[in-house]
Amino acid sequence: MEALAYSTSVPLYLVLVPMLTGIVLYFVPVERMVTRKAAVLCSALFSLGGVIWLLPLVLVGEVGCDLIELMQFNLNFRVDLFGWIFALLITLIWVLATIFSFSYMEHEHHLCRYYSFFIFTLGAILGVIFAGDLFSLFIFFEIMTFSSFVLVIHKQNQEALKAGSLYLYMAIIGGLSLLFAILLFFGSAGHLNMVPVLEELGNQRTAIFVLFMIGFGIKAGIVPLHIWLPLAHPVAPSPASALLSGIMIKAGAYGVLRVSLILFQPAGAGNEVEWVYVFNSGNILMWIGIVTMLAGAIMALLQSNTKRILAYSSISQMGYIVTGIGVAMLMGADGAMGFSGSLYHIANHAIFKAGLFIMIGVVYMYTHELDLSRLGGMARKMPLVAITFAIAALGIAGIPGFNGFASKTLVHDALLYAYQHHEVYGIFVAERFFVVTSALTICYFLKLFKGVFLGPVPEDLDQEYRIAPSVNFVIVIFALLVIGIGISPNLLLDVFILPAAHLYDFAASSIEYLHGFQFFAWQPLEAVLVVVLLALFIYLPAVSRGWFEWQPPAWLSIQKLVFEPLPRAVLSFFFREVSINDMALGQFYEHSSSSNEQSLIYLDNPGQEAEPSLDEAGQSAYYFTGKGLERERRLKEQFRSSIFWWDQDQWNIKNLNFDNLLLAFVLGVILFIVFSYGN
Amino acid sequence: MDEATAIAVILFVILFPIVMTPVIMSAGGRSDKLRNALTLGTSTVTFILTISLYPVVMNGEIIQLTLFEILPDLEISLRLDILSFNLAAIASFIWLLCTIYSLDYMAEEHGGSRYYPVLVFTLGSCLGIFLAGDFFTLFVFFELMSLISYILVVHEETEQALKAGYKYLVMTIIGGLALFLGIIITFELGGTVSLGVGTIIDEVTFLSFLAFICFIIGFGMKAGMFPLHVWLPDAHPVAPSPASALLSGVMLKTGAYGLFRVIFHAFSVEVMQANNWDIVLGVLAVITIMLGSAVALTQNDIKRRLAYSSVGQMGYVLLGLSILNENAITGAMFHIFCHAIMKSCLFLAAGAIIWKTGKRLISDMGGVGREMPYTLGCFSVAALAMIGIPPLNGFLSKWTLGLGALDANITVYAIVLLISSLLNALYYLPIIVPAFFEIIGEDKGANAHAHGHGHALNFNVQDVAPRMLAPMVILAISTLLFGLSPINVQFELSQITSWFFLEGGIF
Repeated sequence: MEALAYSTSVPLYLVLVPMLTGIVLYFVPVERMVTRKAAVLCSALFSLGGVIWLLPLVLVGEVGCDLIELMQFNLNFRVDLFGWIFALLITLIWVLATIFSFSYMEHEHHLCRYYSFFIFTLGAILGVIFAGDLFSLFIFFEIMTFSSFVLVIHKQNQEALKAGSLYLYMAIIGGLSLLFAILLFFGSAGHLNMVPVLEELGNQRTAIFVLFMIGFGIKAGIVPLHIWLPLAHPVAPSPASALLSGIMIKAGAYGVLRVSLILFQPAGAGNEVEWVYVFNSGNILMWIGIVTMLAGAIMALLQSNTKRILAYSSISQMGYIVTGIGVAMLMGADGAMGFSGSLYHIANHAIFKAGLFIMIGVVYMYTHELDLSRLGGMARKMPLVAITFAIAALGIAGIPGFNGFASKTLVHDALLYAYQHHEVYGIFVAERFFVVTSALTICYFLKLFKGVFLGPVPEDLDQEYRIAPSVNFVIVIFALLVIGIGISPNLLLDVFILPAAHLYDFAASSIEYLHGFQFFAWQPLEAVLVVVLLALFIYLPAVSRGWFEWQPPAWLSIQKLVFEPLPRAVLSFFFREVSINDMALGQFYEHSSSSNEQSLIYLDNPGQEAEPSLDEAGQSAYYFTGKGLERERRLKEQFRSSIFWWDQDQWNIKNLNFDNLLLAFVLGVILFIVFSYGN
Repeated sequence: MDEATAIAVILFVILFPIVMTPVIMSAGGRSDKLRNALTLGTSTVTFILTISLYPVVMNGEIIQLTLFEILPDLEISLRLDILSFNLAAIASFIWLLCTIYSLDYMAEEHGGSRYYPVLVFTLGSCLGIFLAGDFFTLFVFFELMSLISYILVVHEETEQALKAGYKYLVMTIIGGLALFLGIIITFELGGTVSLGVGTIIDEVTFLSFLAFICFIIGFGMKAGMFPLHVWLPDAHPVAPSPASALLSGVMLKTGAYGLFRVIFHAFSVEVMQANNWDIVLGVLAVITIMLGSAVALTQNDIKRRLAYSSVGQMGYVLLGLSILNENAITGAMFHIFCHAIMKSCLFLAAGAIIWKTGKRLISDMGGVGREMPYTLGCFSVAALAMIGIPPLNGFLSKWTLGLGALDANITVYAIVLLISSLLNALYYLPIIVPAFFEIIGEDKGANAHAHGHGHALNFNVQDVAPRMLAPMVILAISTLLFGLSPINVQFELSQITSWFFLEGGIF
């Protein structure tokens, strides 16, 4: 492990103080609410202060501390500038979300549990970021999963429990594949430090890479591992949603970044074979990112629940980040632009997505309404919320002058640059998908903004809303951050992000190129203009025809296509065989003295002693054992019949009238022009 | 502590509980209080004396003592080495906690005057197994323990219990006979059955393979190995809960202990690996893990689910024994510790739930965590340890076993461990999550604002009696302590055990 520039145990305190606060607060009596709030706020402010205090040290070099042996391994904390940027974002947004919680949660139940786990999770996620090796990282990753689970199911209604259990099981699968990756990594590399080790991984490296990507990808919500995200993020209370979507999925992105740009880099100069391997991995990662951003954007367009739109939007934005990482990886030593773009977008997304969730939370707090069709006209009732929401939405849309513009431009330019450099047609296509997704982003935010803030006010919501000053304070801070970064995009880039890029093995020239990058030159502005025009071309006809209300048939969802039938098929085989064998074995022993006939009959006719009232997992397991046979056949038939989708009512080709077809055709032509332009 | 004292202590911890049995029995006729006090005193004294052997073991001394000869070369002897100490220590520890738990649990049950003497007697015979100096002595105590614990299994005297007990008895006798045959063959081939002579059989013939199979049947039956596990899911749940905790937490381990002795004393690592006997054991272990975990999912009775889980978890130990390298043996030994702690905690907590609410079915347990927050808290900690969530001890054993599997280049075993972890999550989380978070008896789809503070966890509610709670809390804290603590005594002991067996010395 490299020598530390400075040894300090501050990272340890930053992790421990919020965790201990959470544990202690759990046992403070319910009535002491002021004490509780003060303690939570102090703890969050302490973390923020500590992180800022670390800055001068971090600018010099890597700082950290080694703990005495815990769990038979050294628990290490290491902070470099790259991790520090994450830590600053986390603590800053945590403080704002804490302040917002005070008003939002006033009328909620279970405040004791909420605040304890809320602040405990801060410690866990800081642990993930500060972890100096993979083992420490894994431990905090798992702790974070379990403590945030409690935030997800806070409402405790059926919907929340269902979303929560999907989240939990997906996270456990992710955790296990992460564990397996770390085990394999340890087996081949012999250590768990986060240093470039591509050569040492031998022929297991593809398996390790895939397992790491599954492990972190589930947390980061990349397609097709995202299915828990649009369920889990909206059901949580709004401050928690803001943290889940703004911060916690970044822990996944952090892992993807560390793995692909540090672990999977050749330690020395690297030979041709290794660079080709890195290029291919990066290329695949980039395409995963493209698919994620496009699928997320399309799904966001089709939602009518405000928080679900934001959740799908998070998936889409994670696609940008993963694309940036992929481009950085495939460019090898010249990847500084992709890296800076994705790191910049991580920061920007944390700010505007947390802000957007909180603003939607403010609307929900006063109206108790999340559905677009039953909201409207809120701009007149809550003008400040509307303004800040518009600012954050402009940020996410990548309009010049707002923060998303800078990071999207960097990722976009990285794609263009990679295409010029490698002349791979796939990268060009990816760049065009990027443009289309950016247009779709504008479309769904137009839809969201129009649905919530414009139009007539519904009758039952027509009253005066007096918004608490602390809430106003929080949303204004978010809006100011968006504008501040947007106006001077080079500040953040030069001071934090480029020095962070120096920690990686990027060529100095490629980093130097980004110093004083001209964001407000004609070329990036032209790209934005194309995006905005395309967005209008899509939005105007689509909204007049009601295309956004189209509901995709249920079988088309990835859940119905992959996540339900696949485990079902595997588990059904598994449980049926195993349970029948076990029962038959028991029967065999019992009857072997009298006659084997009965056990044979039993083998022939298993599962006759079904217990009707099992829990969910047990039930599914049970019916696979015996009764499941028939049920499964029926399901299979159902599934097969639903394959013929033109027979379904939801979407019928006969319903498409000529106007729609013509418009779709025109749109297709425009898209075609977009795709072939400049090639 | 010099050797003479150590020998006296070893003899004492075996004989003292056995001698106390009639005393407790006669005291039971007079006063319940006296009987309980005597039982508690016996287990406490035994526990403290067993732990006091720690310095002897850590000095690297191996005590091998022949008491007397029954026939020429067939003797009754004692042995204390690191493995014996590990097992004896964890057994007496769990026994002490289960005795404390029994005091309140059995207060309203019938047959206390039968239960306590049997409890103490099984403690003596169990320690006898762990401290035996040769296979014959081990066999004698093994049979004693198996037969006496039948009384614990059928304690409830219901039809179900009697049926399960009958199954248990038949299987035990089959196992005992197989073991006996194995010992006879070993004696015939090697001329001795003592554990003090190193490898007894180093020649591989049909007879020695037969002996190996017989040992596998005899000890594997006790350890709940496929296909001999069938008695276990019947017998463990019907016993009173503290007895289930002992059956699952400690008595299963006698089988694993026996296999340790067979592999390293009757045969050797070289013999095992040269003849691919380790693969036989490995395949059985994989099937056991998968079967135990998968069938546990289909059970709705909480104690049956725990019993099947025990089958799966003992598979881990067998898997470690089949891989036979340093990490794997460490993992297997450490998992014996972990599983003893976790599973007894789970059984005690399940017993407390049944005792307090009368609910046995998992589907009825929604919201029970709000009634008994401490009990379910302990249950959750132990269950999370079982799934292998860091920083609890189950994670450490799984990690070490996984490393062992990868050291031996058998990736399949590591995958099996992970799949089994997933299955553990699938059958433990549906107990924990509804217990804390499900809202019973209201419109579940209703607006969340309707629920006031009434559903908050209230730590002032009447949980179970403190004497039942204390053992669970101690065990739950142990799972954390022996996972996280920098000075992890159990892990060090496991490592020393593996060095002892693989490199022939402690240091």
